[in-house]
Amino acid sequence: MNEMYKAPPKEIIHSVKECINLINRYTPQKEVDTLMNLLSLYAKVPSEAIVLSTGSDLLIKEFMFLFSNNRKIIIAEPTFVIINNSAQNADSASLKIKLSEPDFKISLEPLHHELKKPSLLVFDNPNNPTGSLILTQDDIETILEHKNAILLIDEAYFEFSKVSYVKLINKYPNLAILRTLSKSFGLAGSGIGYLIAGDLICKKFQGLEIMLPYPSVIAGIKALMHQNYMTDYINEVETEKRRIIDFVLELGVVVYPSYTNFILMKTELQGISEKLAELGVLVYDASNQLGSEYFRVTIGSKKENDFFLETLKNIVISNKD
Amino acid sequence: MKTKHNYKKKIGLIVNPIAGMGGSVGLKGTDGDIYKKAIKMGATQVTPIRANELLLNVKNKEKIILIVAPGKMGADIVKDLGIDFEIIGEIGTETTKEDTKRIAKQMVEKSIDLIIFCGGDGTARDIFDSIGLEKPVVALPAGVKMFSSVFAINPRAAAEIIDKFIEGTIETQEKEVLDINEDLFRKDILQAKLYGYLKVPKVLNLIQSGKTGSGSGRTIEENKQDIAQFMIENMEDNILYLLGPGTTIKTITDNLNLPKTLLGIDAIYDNKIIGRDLNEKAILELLNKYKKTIIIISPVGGQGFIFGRGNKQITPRVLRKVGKNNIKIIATTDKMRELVCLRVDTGNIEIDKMLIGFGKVITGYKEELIVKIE
Repeated sequence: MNEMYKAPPKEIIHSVKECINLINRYTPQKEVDTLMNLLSLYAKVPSEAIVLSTGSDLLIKEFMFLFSNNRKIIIAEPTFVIINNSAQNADSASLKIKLSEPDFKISLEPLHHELKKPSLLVFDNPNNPTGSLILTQDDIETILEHKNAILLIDEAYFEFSKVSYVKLINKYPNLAILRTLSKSFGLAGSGIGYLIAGDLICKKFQGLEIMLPYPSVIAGIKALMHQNYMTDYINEVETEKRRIIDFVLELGVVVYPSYTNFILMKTELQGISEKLAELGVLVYDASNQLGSEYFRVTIGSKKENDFFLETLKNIVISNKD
Repeated sequence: MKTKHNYKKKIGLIVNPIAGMGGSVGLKGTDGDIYKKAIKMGATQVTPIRANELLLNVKNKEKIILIVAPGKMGADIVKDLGIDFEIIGEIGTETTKEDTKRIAKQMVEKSIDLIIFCGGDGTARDIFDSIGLEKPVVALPAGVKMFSSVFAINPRAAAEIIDKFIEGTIETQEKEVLDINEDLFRKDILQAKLYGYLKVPKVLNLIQSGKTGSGSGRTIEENKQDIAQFMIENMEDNILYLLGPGTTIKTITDNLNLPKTLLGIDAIYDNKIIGRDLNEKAILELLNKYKKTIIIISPVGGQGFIFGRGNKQITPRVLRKVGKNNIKIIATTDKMRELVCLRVDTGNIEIDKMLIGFGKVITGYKEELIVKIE
């Protein structure tokens, strides 16, 4: 649901179509190497610091599997559902920190005692579904100074937030950063996720390399070679985001600061997502995470956004007592 | 051969005709004889309008048969709506809470699937007294005092819940019925006591998508069982456990095959009940007798109170003796989602200060949530 609304540029589509003719073959290593080199240039880290996988969902699950043994898993509440469910299904004990409105920031105060013990912290920054930046650099360094703690930060939306802590991997061997080409590059269907970390963490993934499908690798290569479309998309999202926020504030809808390509909103109406769905607008129903008066709307095309705003306006007006 | 089956759901409807009349004339409730004063002051009935709006908004009208209380308690409202209905019981010219209680019971005897009642906290208490957790209810808010968490938001929301119930896409959960001291409330003092629980339908999230849904799809009941299992595995011998009110805590004693007073404080030692429905004096006596005590509590009162609502027996003196580190808070993830924070209001500033800050709530098997306590 939280995808780029339009198809990626022709160059990408064309190359992916071409490579389908070689679908009988395993993905050629040289193409994988090219993708790794491009990612290395893009993230400004050596390619040895990158672990490539089919989507960041799988990397989250693998990371928890590799590093949660005898460690308490610490996550935010709410958080990206895959993080939540992976923590819940792990054998280790889990501790969630409730994020509070309006800024949904993590408070480390109650964690001081926990951080002295072996722990695995997994935070999405910006957070999904709130869209907030929940950690500051100070928070991150405070966590990482504890040698018993391992920290995984999911930066799936960092191109929108323009905040990344990738540089800290040189200083802290207990830090890993997770990224994806599914969001700002609009390649959700290709499922390309990558992890950036120091030797100690990357070594654990040796021998577990996942072969990405050939079309995905080609899509990734071409996307990284044509990054302009990604920056254009981000600018478009920012402009539309401002327009949407101004409009819904007029309706009395509560809007939370967004550092992503979606916005979290709250109305006084319960089951708002369902009402929108009945009228043809699909939004992410945050009722399982925050309550049924909350919903997360992805920035779509101008036309889609107009339809959403009009529909929301009608619902809000018709429910005013 | 019979080709037509009667699949209609039997839905009870009880309207408290005088509920809410105090509101417009500033009387803060119509418990007892206050409603007569309200009428003299020019108050008009509000519940028939609310109940009417609810029924008009129900989409599956042809799939239900209403079992209604007579006259102004139900029949007068439904007669022109085109919904099948049957009248049950009898009432006099002036209705009382005894009518509500008696008719609710008769409805349960008639095997209704769900009861809709329209009123306030007082009506909710009458329904609880009469049917307890036997049948699910939809509570339509129309009273002046509606602090209980059983109430739907408004008639339209209640109608949606009823439609979902008819369609079968529903799970029930226990919600609190509170008793507000009306005399004090008129003096702007809010004193709430946990009175009981009613079973309320919970509308499930109906929008499906690949990445929706958290909590690995466990039900509220499974969640309670997870918490109970974790608590039982971590219970130790030679420790006195004081168990607070609520259905989440009752799941622990159910699993231990021990009785539990739903609303009281009970004590367990070495897997045996050693005290039931204890008051402060009895608790203090136990604290003197046993070396170590752990209090297990769950938030009550709708707004997340862990102390000061519904468990007043656990007094500041008790809390000082037991200590903050020996308090275990348990709650389902569902309940915690609705709460912004936990609250304390023990009546003693020093003890409140000891308790505020951050607290850990056990929300599943080996699963905790850190939340603010204010």
